[in-house]
Amino acid sequence: MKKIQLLCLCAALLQYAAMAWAGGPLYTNRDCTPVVFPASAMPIPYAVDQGELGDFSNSLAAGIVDDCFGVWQSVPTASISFKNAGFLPEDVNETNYEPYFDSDADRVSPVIFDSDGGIIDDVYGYGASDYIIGFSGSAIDYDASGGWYYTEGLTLINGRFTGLFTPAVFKATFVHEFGHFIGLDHSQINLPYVSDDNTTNDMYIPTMFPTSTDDDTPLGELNPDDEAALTMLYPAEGSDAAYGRIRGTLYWRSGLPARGANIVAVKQGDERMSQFSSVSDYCMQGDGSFEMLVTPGTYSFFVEPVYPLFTGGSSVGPYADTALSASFVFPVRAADYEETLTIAAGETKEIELFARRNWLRPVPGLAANLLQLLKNLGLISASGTEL
Amino acid sequence: MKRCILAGILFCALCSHASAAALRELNLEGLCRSAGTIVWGVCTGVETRDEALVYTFTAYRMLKGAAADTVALRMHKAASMYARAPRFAEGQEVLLFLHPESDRGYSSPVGFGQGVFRIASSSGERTAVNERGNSRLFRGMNMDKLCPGAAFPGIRQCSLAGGGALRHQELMELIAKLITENDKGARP
Repeated sequence: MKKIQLLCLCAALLQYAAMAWAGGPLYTNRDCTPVVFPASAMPIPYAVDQGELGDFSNSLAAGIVDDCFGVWQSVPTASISFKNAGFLPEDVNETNYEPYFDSDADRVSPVIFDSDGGIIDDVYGYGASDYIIGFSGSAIDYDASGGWYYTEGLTLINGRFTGLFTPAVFKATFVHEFGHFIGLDHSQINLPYVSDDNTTNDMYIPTMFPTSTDDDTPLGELNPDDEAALTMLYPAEGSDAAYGRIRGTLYWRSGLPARGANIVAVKQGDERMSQFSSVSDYCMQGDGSFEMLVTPGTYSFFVEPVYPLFTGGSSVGPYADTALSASFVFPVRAADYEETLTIAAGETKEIELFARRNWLRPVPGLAANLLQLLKNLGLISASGTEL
Repeated sequence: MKRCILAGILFCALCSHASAAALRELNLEGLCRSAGTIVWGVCTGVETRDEALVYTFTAYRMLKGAAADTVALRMHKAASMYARAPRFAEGQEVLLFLHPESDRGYSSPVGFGQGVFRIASSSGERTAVNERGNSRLFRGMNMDKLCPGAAFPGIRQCSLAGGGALRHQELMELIAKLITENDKGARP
């Protein structure tokens, strides 16, 4: 068994600049290049458990896995590919899973079917399989010339949920998780459509949205923001023919850069579906910058705070780790902008936006509860700034 | 070429992370029921031992589980990294819901960030907020029965608002009540 070597904290501090931006990479290097699987790793091989997945036969489960990877591979503007490298040497369970948690030189990413939840209970504690549906992530390595990069992933799927979820819902869940596997962060687009008891608008929610919604089935297919984010990480030759680039900076009215706000570009004529996003100061350079790929068209912009509940494992952007992070302590006031930009394929345009601070939500706390209650009752506007 | 895992970066104080784990949602009753240990305390140690990350907490109060002055949370290192389980730093004051240890001695917070309430002072009040901002923490619970009359006003407000910070003391009192009721229900 090869041991996983922890990076010295000091080395991480010296080399690290790993943050994320909405509709963008999970981690970046110091120079703001994203952490990705290198081109030499393509196609990224994965090997599938020999066992069943709860109520799903091995062939059904393996087919779901192939479909999930295939969703990302099918994006024509992205140069990412996967290869089913066959089966793992055994039916993996709680007696033999340990070696698969060590990344090793073969660079083949195991996909483990934890048929009865036994592995999850063993590694996370008794009863954990009641709540953990699965996970997918990738190990990382460092090269002096290229920076950080992904080497090999690990996916584990809890078979206990096959009695609850349809194959379509499993697919939606793991297309999202595989997005993290290849290095994508969450995206906060069309937040009002989530859990609004309306399933017909869930198609406008991107796959990389942090939470589930009324009907997760449409999230098994990628939205424009997902495809653009993937293309930014893994641009295919000729992707310039499909996208233009918007670079910008978000400032406070004082002129200081504003960090951790969600900037959304909305395409005129396709407002609900064609939205692209980025979080300000995504590379944590302290400059309030943002960047996104967009399909050709004319765009208007709005700025919004990262939703206060999107912290920790549901975070959007680099300043949303806890309720006391910059996205929430100094939130922007949601605002639409009059400026529009028309972007052609292959074109890069820049824009400066100015934000106002939401003084009614200075620090998360009990006062914020009362504020939310008043919003829920319709006694104040959604922005929380008017009575 | 030095090999390392994402964990190295995750320990960085500047670090943020996005979930690589898909989780079911839990309300407070579910957290109380699933936890083998519920402890209010402060993290006093972080170390790695072989394949485990070990967090040591000085316990201010044990709400569930055997009485103890300290609680050691032993998490499977690689599994925690891949799934981006919650992590802790020395000095953090938390209210933790922990799964009973597995046969190998591993545990984790129930529902990951859902079972980790960070205690902070806000506007003169000590508040408790989990990773989801206490969103839907009381979903499906009978609040009229749990919070009769004027009892637990902050809990009521949080429940109506759909989330938000909770008074730490109030939350602990409600947890103690839930555990007592669970124990009563468990008796033959």
